[in-house]
Amino acid sequence: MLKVKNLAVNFPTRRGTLKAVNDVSFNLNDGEILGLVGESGCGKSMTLLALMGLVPYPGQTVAGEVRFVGQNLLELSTKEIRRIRGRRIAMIFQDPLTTLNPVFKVGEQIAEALRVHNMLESEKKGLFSRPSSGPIREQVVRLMKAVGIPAPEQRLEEYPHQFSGGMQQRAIIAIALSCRPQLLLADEPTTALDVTVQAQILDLLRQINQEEKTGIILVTHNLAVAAEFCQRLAVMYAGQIMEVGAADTVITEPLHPYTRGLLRSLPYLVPKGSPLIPIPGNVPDLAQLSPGCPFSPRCDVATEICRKQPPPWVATEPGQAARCWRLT
Amino acid sequence: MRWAKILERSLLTIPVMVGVAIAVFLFMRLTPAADPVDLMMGEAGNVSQAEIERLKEEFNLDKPLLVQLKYFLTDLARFDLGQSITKRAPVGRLIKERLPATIELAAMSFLLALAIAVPIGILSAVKQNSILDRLSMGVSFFGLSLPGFWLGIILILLFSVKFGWFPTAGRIAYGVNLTDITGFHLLDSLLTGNSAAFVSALRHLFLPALTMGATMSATVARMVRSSMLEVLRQDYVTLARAKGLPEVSVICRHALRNALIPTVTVVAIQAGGFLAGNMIVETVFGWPGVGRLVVEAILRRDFPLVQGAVMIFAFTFIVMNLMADILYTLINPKISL
Amino acid sequence: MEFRPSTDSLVMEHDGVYSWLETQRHLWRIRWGLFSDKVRWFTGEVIGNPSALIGGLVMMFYVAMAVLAPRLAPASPYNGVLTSRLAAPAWVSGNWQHILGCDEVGRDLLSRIIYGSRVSLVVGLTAVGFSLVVGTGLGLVAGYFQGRLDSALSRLSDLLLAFPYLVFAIFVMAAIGPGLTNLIVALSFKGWVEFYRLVRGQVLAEKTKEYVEAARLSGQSDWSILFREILPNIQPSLIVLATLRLAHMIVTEASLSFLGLGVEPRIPAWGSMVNAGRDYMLSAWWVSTFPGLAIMFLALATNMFGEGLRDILDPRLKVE
Repeated sequence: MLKVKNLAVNFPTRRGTLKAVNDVSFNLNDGEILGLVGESGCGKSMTLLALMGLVPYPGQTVAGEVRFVGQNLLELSTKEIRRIRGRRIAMIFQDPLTTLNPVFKVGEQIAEALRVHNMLESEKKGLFSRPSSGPIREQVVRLMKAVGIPAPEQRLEEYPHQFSGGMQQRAIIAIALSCRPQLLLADEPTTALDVTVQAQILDLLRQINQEEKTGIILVTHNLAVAAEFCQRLAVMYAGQIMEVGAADTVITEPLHPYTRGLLRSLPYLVPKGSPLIPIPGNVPDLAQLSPGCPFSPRCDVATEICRKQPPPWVATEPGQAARCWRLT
Repeated sequence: MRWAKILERSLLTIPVMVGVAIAVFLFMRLTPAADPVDLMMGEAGNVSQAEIERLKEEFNLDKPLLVQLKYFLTDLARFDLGQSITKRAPVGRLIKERLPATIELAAMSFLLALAIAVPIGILSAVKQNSILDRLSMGVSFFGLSLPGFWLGIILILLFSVKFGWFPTAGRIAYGVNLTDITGFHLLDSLLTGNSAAFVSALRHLFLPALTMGATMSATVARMVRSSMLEVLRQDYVTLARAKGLPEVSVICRHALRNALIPTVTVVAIQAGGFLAGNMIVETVFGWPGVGRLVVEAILRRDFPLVQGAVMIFAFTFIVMNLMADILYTLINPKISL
Repeated sequence: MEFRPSTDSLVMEHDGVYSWLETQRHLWRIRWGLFSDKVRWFTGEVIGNPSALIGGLVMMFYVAMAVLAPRLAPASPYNGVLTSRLAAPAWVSGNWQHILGCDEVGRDLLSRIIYGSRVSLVVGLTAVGFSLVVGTGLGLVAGYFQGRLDSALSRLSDLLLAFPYLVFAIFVMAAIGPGLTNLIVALSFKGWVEFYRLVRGQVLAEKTKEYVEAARLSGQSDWSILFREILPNIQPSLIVLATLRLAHMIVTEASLSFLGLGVEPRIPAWGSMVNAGRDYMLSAWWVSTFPGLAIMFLALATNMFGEGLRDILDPRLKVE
C-alpha cells in the first residue's frame, strides 16, 4: 500500500543543515501494522509528517518518493493532497489535550472532518450545519460509540478540557476514522496516557486494524509496546532506518548492533535479574553528522569502514534487513 | 453558571467606582492649589467679602470635609456633577454636549486600527520572516514609540498643509449644514441623505482617527502576530491540516479563535486608554470633544469640570474593562466557573 | 587552609587562625569575579543583539547629551535673541550658528533640545526607578506573605488601575501644579502598580517551586529567601518591564509638557517646545519637528533596547 523511498527532510539551522530524516525507505503492506521505533529525536515523528506533507517551517522535504496506492504524494499539489489527508490517510498525535482545539466543542471537531470530505449523510451541507441537528449528530454519535466514548449524546456538546486523557485520545481517533481511511499514522498515541488507558487505546487500534483492514504505522519509543502490537518493526536512529523486519524476529534475533544495544538496555526487555547494559555515548547532533554509519561512534563492533562509508542494506532473509557493514 | 459570574463581576465594579469618586473628590479638596474660590477671584478681580461668602456657601466650601463628601456623593447619585466655574453651566450638560464628538472619534479610531492591525498581524504570522513580516514589525515598532501629539502634528504638516488633502482642524467644514439628530455627524448625514456633510465629516475624521489609532494599531498587530505564531505551532493546527482542511479555514477558524483570546484583553485596555489619548489628539486637531474640554478646564482651573470629566473617564474605563472581561469569558470556553 | 567558594557561603577548613578581615577580602574578591563575569557575558550578548545594541548606544548618546549639556550646547537655551526669531535651520538659511534654527523667541533650537534631554531623562529615570523600587518591594512582600497587606494593596491597585494612565497623570498634575518633582510624583503614582502586579504574580508562581521549599528547609529566613532566591529569578522580566516603561514615561512626560502640565515654563522640555511651535507650523515647521524627533528617537531606542533585552534575558528564546 505504501512505499517510501529515500525520504529526506532537512532543517536549516545556524549550526548547519539538520538532517532530520536522512534517506529513509520502508514499505507497508495492506492491512499491516508497522512500528517505527527509536529514541526521542531520531526523526520518527518527522517521517510521519513528511508522508502527509506537513513538515513544519522551516523544514523541507528535499528528496524521496512516497508511493501511496500508486501516487507519489510528494508530487501532489496542495489541493490534491488535501483530499488525501483525513480521507485516505489520517493521523493521530501524542498529547491529546493539545491536539484538540480547546475552543471548539468535541462534536463539532468530529463533524468538521466529515464535512470537509463530504462524508455527511445529511442533505444539509455547508459551513454552518451544526452537529446538534439530526442526521449529522447521529453520525457523530455513532462514531463516538465506535471508539468507546460513553454517553456520546451529552459528550459531543462538551469541550476538550472536560474529557479525560483517554477519552480525548478516543475522540481524536474518532476524528481520524471518521472518513474511513486506508492508512492511520499514529505518533506516540499512548505516551501521554496512563498505563491502563494505554492498553485500551491499543486494543481499540487493533480492533480497527482487524475490522477495517486499516494499515497502521505506529511511532513509539517504547519497544515493548511495539513488539506486542506491531507485525513489523523498523528501527530508526539519527534520522535513518537501521533495521527492518518482522517484529518477533527483530526482538529475538536482532541484526543491527543498535537494536542489540537497545534490547540489552531497556528494563522492560531485559529478563529480571540480568544487568542493564546502557549504550555508551550520546545521540549525535543531526546537523553535524559524520560520513558513514551514524551509530559508529557508539558501536562496540564498529570498524574503519563503518565510520567512513554509509553502510548498505543487507537482507538475511526475505523481509529481514539491516544497514550494517558487519553483516557483509 | 457563567452568567452568575458575569453578574458578580459587574457588581464588583460598583465599589471601585465609588472608590474612584471618593478619591477624585479628596484629591481635589486636599491639594494646595485647589481653593476654587481664590482662583475664581483671580478671574473676576476685586470682589467684596460678602460675595466671597456667598460663593463659599454655594459651593459648600465652608462645611467640614465629610459633609462636603456627603453632598458630593448624593449629588453624584442623582447624576449631578456640579457647576462649571468658568462656563457657568452644569458640568453634566457640558460633557453631554461634547460626548458624541469624542465617541465618534474613538469609535472610528478603534475600527480603523483594528481593520489595519488584525489582518497585518495574521499575515505577518503566517508568512513569518517574509518581507511583509519584517516591514510591518518595523513600522509597528515605530508606531509604538511615536508620541501621539507629534504624530498628529506631522500628519497635519504633511497632509493638510503641504498636500492639502485633509482639513487641519475641526469636525466638519464651516459652511456645511447638518441637522443634528444623534450628534454623530456620520450617522446624521446618512440619515438625512446629506452627502456633502458625510464626505466632509469623513475628511475631518480621518487624520485624527489615524493618529489615535496608530499606537493601538501597532500594539495590536504585534500582539496578534505573536499570538498567532504561538497558536500555529500547536498540535491542533497540525491536526486541522491533517484532517484535510483548506489552509484558509485552518488559519481563520482554528488558529484565529485561539489567538484572539489574549488579544482581546490587550485591545480592551488600549481602547480604554483611548479616552486619555483623546485629550491629546483632540487638542492637536481642535476636535470639539470632551478631551479638549478637560484640557481647557485644567488650564483654567475649573475644578468641578475637571473633577466631573475625570470621573466620567474613569467610569468609562472601568466599564470597558468589565466588558473586556465579559468578552473574554464568553470567548474562552475554559472559563466556565 | 582550604576555600570552597560559592556565592553565599564560604566553607573554611583551617588549622591556623585567620582574621575576619582576611575572610571578607576573599569573599569580596570572589563576588567581584562573579560579577565581572556576568558583566562580560551581558556586554557580549548586547553586542550580539542588534536591537539591544543600537538601542543601547542611542540611549547612551542621549545620556551623554544630558550630562554634558553645558559643554555641548552652542548657545544658551534660556535667553533668546529676538533678532533671530524663527530663524531657519542651517541648511536653509546658511547661518551655521543655529544648526537647527531658532524658536519663536530666538533661542537656539539645538541647545534647547540638548538641555531638554535632561528633563526627559531625569523625569523618566527617576519615575521608573521609584516605581520599580516601590512596586517591587510591595510586590515581593505582598506576594510572599500575602494576608491583609496583600488584599489592601490589591484594592488600592485596582482603584488606581481604574484610571487610564494619562488621564491620571493629567489629573494629578492639574491638582498639584506644574514642576519637576510634581511631575515625577504624578508619573510614579500610578507607575508602581505595573511593577507591583508583575512582581506579585511572579512571586506567587515562584513560591510553589521546589528551590524555595529547599531553602526554607535549610533554615533560611523568609527575607533572605525573598531577596536572594526569588528576586534573582524575577530580575529578567523586571528589567525588561522597566525599560519598556521608561520609554512610555518619556512619551508621557512629553505629552504632559505638550499640554502645558509639565515642568516650569522656564525649563526647556521637548513637549512644550512642540506645543510652542504649533502656531508657527506653516512658516517655521522646524520649531515643532525637531523636538518631536528627539522624543521619538529616544523612545524608539529605549523600546529597542527593551526588546533586545527581552530576547537576551528570556530563556524561552525563539525556536531555531
